[in-house]
Amino acid sequence: MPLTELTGPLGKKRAAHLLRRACFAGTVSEIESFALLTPAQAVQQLFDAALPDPVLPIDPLTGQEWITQGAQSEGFELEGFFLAWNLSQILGNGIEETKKLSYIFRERLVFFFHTHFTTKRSVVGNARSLYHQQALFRLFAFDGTDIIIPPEDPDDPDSMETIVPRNFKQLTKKICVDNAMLVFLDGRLNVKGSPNENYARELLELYSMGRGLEGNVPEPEFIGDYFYYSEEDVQAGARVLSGFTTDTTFATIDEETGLPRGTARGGTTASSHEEGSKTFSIRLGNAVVTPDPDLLLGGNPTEESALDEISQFVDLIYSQEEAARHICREIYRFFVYHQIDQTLSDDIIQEMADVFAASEFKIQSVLEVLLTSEHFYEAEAGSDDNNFGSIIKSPLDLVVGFIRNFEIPIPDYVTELETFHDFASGILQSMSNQGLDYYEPFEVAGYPAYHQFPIFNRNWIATNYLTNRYNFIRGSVSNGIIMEMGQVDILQFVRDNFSDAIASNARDLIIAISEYFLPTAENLSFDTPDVGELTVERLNYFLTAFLFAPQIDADPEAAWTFRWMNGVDDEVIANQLTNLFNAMLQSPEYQLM
Amino acid sequence: MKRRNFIKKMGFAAGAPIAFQGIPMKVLGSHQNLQRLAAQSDNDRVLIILQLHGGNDGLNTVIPISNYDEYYSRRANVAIPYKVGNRTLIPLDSTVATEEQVGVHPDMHDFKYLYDTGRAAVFQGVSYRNNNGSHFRGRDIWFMGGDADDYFSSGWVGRYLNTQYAPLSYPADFPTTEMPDPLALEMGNDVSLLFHQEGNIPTSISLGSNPEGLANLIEQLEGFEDEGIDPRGNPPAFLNDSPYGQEMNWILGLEDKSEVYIQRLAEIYEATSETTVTYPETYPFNAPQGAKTNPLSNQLQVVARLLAGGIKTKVFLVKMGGFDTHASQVESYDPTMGLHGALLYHISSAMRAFQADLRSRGIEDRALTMTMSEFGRRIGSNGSYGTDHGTGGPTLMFGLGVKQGIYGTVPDVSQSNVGLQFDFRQICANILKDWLCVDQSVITNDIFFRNFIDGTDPDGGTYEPIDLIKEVILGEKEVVKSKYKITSLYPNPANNYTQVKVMVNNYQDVKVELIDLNGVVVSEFNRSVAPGEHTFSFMLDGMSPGFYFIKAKSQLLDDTKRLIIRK
Repeated sequence: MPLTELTGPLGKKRAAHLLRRACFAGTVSEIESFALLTPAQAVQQLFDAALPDPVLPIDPLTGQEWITQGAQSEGFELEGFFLAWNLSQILGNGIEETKKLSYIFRERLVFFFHTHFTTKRSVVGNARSLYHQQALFRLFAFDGTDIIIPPEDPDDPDSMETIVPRNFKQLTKKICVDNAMLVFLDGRLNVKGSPNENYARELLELYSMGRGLEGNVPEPEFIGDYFYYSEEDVQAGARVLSGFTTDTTFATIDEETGLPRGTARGGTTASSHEEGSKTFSIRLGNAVVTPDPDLLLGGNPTEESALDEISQFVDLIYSQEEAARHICREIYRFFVYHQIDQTLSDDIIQEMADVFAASEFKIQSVLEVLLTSEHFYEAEAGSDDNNFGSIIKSPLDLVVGFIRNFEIPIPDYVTELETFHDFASGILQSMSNQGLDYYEPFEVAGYPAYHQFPIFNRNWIATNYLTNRYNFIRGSVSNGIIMEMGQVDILQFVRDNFSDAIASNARDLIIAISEYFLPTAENLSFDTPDVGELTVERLNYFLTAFLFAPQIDADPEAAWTFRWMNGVDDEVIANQLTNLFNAMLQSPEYQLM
Repeated sequence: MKRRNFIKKMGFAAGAPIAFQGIPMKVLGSHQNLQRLAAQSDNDRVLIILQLHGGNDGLNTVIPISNYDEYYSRRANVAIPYKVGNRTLIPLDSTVATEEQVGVHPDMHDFKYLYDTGRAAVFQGVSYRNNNGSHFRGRDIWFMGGDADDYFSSGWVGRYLNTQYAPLSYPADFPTTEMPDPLALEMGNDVSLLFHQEGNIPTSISLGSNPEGLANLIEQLEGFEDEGIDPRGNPPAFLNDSPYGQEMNWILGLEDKSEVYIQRLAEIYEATSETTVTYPETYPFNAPQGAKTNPLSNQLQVVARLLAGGIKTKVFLVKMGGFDTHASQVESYDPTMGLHGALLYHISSAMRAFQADLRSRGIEDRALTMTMSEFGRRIGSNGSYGTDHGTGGPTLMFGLGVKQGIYGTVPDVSQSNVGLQFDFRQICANILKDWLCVDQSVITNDIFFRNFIDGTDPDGGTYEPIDLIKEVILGEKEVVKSKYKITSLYPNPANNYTQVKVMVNNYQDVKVELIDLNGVVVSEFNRSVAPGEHTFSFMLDGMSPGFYFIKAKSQLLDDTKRLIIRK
């Protein structure tokens, strides 16, 4: 079995790895406490089903939330407030410590869904639609348990509770009539007699079935054949999906999710929905989606019958084995590594897909197996083919990870809203400079790092972007350059997180920092070559940057120890630490997770 | 900062060009034949690829005239009017046969000007077999230069550059004294598959709009420090093949090239003067606000300035988005305005300014620009004033080196999609051969892995070489004169009348003058004419015998013939 479970305590290196992949990064104390857990215990703690709901986003002009009531701020301002509010969730702002990691993990899954079912705020043009789409992702992020809708009348013994499946397939059905999606991919323009295929095509190509493993897709056998589906299926799918439009009063509530959705055009009948049955190509087994006669009204389609057809269509897609493999490849690339060859696909991906399908497409089931597997950490025992540091951080990972690593204080979302908004715009600006214009990917497939074969997350590294990553670090740890998002008080940080025994020894301090914040940093030595995961030269470079450039003392290491132990000359200490952290973090190593 | 050569230490194993795999580099480097091969590449021509992101609607860019009625009926809600109203398609070239007539979008005046002055061409039905309706696969196929079912991890330009500079390999052996500049430059911040080479960092450097600011920043950042013991973070040898080691080497490679090249680019940029040409800024008609600003002007200005500074980079990629026009491609009340019209206006007007900029800098003969878009759009429009994904579409080409013309035939618009006339690799291969002077065997064996110039087409028949590059780059006058001229003057010598036939290729106000030897205008006609041949008759009763001149003038026309009057 390839996905063998890893047992025994995680230890520091694996704990830091898991926290980077699941929660953007860990603080020193989080890494220490996770180090004592087994992978199963850690992952169980991450999937805490009893999380609080986020507070609703607030309009600073009214001081009130603007989701269920009006706002005074302009629409484009609300978009900015939505992004800022989203960052507040990602940072676990104001969440109690025992729930915080789980809360942030849920947000990282929400971000994963956003990279998958992507959207662009400039196209959607409605902050509330973006909010509700994200709420849908949040509802489906931890999908271990189904949604239970309490009975309408709790006192009536005949009134039953309803159980709604909570899984990725169900989310796929819901996103088809999501208000933001209906705008983003023109679903609202797809009407009877005049199909608009935009959404149907991306539903198949990007969201569910996919195009197969790059380089290993069998030859097409007819015109318009993509092997796993065909142009005919795009067209039939567009007919199934026809006849919906947005409801931006958000009065149409989906009974199963309790969230707003789009609505069928027409009144009592769905008059813009294509009538009759829709036949798919041989690639989908020549299946037919047929309106449920019980849901028709005088032979005409209704909203219920159209939604039922969408449900049949999505079921049909997920009945093909390739759909589970496609989604599991995306999960793998997001959490493990971007390179997937046929061997890995037949082995790891297939096993993930089997778990996925057997659990009725629950992401949580797949992640529970993946994040506790040996493969997620060391790959096969004894080989250097491990997965530590194999992903280039996205700008979101870098910036949020940095804030978490160094526990930069975050203004309270409710009581310090204005300060928080400044803080958040600093973050968003930094991310944008590094190539992530949040909620505004350049193309409908989303951010290239998550789909662009062959280089995937290497897309994040271009000349400008790398420069701006390093510039972000400099701005955040240097004395004198004030960033809107705040800075690390680096001296206080070291005092709070490292014992004097370690901090007073320059070499031990460098090793300790490396172990917490760089992805591969075991067996480090300043003298013995070829044993440590950072070279002797590299460690000595850090030491030079720390105490020897400029060299103000005759014996810099002894002078460091003296100053630290006696608490003299804080200014020198802070400057030297600034130099050290700049050398260690403006580095390719810190770009990896 | 000090130069360094750490990359050699790291050993980029896969950097060897395909043709020379497995042969030690040192031996190759000193081999005379190979040095000659590298030297052969020494011309100063560059290729600019203009990527139209989203799938350009070719049928509203280049509009068929001979089957216009059918075109109209297939897409009535977005069709560009012909002969109706005051914004109608612009006939591109009335000198071609009736059945080959095409027009361009009314917002492509500048394209028409470039065409008339011998700086533009149109290729119709550019596609590939089993054209893929996906934006992403479609673009990858264009970039990698493969078939619909290929998955190369290198791009055709990356392979071209690999062979061009062989036996040197990128990044390890660059920059050199002869080639101090990036091999390719991508405007914006991406690293497109186009420039990728197998197993290594791309052959291009990406460049935002401010090379100087970027260079200054790099100079200050600790992360680009290159003095000291190991400032770079080369991973230990035992991790070199691990995923971590591979990602580390990727970042290190880009970090190093960024620093070296950005400094150099900033120097070239600073040393060159700003443009004296006014580039277009906005679309003057109705369109969504987001589409009004010209996205190309800035990118092209930087390219022109770098070229004028003597940059030796061979290939540039400039990009614009917004072509995925499923909905509201045109304004509902006027199909000539809106999103798509704005995009075409941006291309035409920016390219005209770019050519003028290059001309004013005396380097107009060095640059050739071609457009690429992942697919064309469906022939029939949809109900939302838009068009869905299709297959074939036109490629536009710009530059003094282009042989003006309408290549290929008017598409059959009774089908659902525009049919294939040119495989896009035929066009690329012919450009490589005739513009960049790459050896045909290299193109066939190392770049496209098939002979797209005159080899066998797997669909049957053979590829025909496309004669798209001028052998001698003529001045503008010669080109204009081929389509704007006095075609005949008869009778001559004349007695009591003569007829002047004048050809023009656009709607023009034409003046035809009869001038005597002293330069006095004896008689003249002023007339607004349509493209085609027009006759002007001069009555000569009462005029003294002797030598005269007939002079025909318009915006583009300037031709004179001698007339003899006898009595």
